[in-house]
Amino acid sequence: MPLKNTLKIQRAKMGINQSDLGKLVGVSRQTISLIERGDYNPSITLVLKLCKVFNVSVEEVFCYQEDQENE
Amino acid sequence: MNRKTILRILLLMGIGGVIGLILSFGLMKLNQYNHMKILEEISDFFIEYTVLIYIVLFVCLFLPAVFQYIKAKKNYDRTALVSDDEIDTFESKGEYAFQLSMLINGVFLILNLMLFGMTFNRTRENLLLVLFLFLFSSICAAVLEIIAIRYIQEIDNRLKGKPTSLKFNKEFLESCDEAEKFRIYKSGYHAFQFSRNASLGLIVLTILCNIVLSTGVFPVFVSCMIMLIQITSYNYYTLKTK
Repeated sequence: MPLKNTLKIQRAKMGINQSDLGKLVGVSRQTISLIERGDYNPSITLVLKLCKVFNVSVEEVFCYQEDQENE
Repeated sequence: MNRKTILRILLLMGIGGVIGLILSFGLMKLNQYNHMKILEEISDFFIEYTVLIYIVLFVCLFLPAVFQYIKAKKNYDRTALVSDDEIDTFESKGEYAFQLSMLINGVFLILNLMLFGMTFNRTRENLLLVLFLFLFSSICAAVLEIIAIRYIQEIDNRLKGKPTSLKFNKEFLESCDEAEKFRIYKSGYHAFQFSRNASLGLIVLTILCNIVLSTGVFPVFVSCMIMLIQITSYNYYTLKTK
């Protein structure tokens, strides 16, 4: 998955668990866990919701890294 | 089309031919014996031991389904007591047991229905007992499914839909989040592809049986109808969701 994120760090900064973050953005705890592990790429809507909760820009949470094979 | 593709098609055709040949010879060999008598004996066996088979199905399928459901519940309940890092482990164990429970319960329900259809005869001696066992087994399976869905909704109150309602599937899907929907669509597509190939195999088998064993046109008609429904419904929903 070329989409890297700092969701876990941002969540730790806020001092909330996966379940609480899920409730804040309207998704399940499992979805938050999948995003943190990099197993699921969230939609633009969910990305914006997450950034709004953390009050940071998209680039601070998500960054796109090209695969070495694609370069 | 390159040479590799042509070779692959030829290889697949060759494999298909060999499978067809083996199946035909096998069925012709079976035809040499009195296969109708064998089928009648199998049918008599099911009719004679219907009650026992119902009990065996209940013990071997329904009880393990209940056991898996209890196991899933225990794992889900433990997630409330552990840290974020450990939740995933218990949750995946719980989910595995839950899916296994629902799978076994589904198989139990279908086999019950199959047994009922194969052995139902208005003139049989213990008709009332057989009817009772069929209804009891079906109700048990339905109740387990309802209880399991309600439990999942209880631990995750985002998930909506009454399990007894006709609109359940729609309401449940709408309440799922994007990752859950993605998973449902993905597994649905894989299941469609697999069942389409299985239907094709079933059609070939029923045609071969009709040619070699004279099993009649009805099995061919039913297997073709299954595939027809699968393909038309898939294309209908593809156009509908465009």
